[in-house]
Amino acid sequence: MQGYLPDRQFTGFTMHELSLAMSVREIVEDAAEKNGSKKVNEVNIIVGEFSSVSTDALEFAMEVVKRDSVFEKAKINIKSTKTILSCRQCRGETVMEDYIFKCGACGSTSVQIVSGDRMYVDSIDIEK
Amino acid sequence: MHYIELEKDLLDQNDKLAANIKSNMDDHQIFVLNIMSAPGAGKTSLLEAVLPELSKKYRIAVIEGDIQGSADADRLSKLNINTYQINTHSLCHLEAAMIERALVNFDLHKIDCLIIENVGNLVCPADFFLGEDEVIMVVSVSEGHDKPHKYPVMFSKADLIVLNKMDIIESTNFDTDIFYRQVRELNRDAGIMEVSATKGTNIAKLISHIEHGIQHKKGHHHHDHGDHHHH
Repeated sequence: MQGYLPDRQFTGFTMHELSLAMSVREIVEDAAEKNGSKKVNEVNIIVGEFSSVSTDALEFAMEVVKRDSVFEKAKINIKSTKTILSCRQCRGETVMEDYIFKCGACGSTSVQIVSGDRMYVDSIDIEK
Repeated sequence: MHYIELEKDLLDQNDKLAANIKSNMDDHQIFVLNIMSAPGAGKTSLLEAVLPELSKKYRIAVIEGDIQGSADADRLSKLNINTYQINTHSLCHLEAAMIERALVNFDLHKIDCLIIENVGNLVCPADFFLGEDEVIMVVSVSEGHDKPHKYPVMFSKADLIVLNKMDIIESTNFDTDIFYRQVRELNRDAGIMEVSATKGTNIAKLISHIEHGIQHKKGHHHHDHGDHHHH
């Protein structure tokens, strides 16, 4: 990955994930420092399916931003999660299918996303 | 080995900045629009169609987001609109931090409505709240009626969907029924307006929609600062 620049046709997407990867770096460096650690072994990231992020591109971007960081040697785990809808009619919570806003239990369209539209650093594993 | 739970949102920083922008805009009673579309859907043409009329009554400012160049800003400057160009340099979307920096170039006491023309892209801008009151999404009939299914996140976040280039619909195979159905599966509440920016069709409707937003903002200065952005 040394000195590798993203392919031109790729740039639009990778740049998006690159700016998110920079946020990951800030979050991890900050947490490591607060916990007095100089080495992070593992970074666990969760990406909701209902976001504009490609996990492949994020993985690639993480390789770029981990250089010279506290997590340079860390294993990066990126997990994609399903979108969960909650229904205002039947109060049920179901998994969103085919990106359609519809309750999987009663079929009502009066639903809202409760999770799966965000991305976050879930946890890290550090050396003390 | 030491395991630490963080649950830190990657967009937290952006959302905090955007919330600051929103409350600053609320204090100045400035109605803020974030306009998004694919490249070539007609965002700038739409602005050229509505701004001459709107700027007779209101003080409008525009922030233009483009990867490179100032072609769009130049077009609007010809209409005597107070315009600031942001070049994102290969970054595919605008972020709140860029808006915050751009706002330094405006006198907020002299603006009624701020229009942010986002980078032409249907993917990335959807994730970044910029402090807007309303998201307007522009789609043109030449892009095809299956756009909502291809870009669900963006469609789910729009407050108003402007279907542009209606004047050429006969030359395309765009099926409005399918389009409306797909939009409704993602977004029950967004208004949909069929317009032609270049022919002027239904532009008056769009102008009055924006006008209503500006008036509403003037009248409801301290209405909630909540994040309408997150469903």
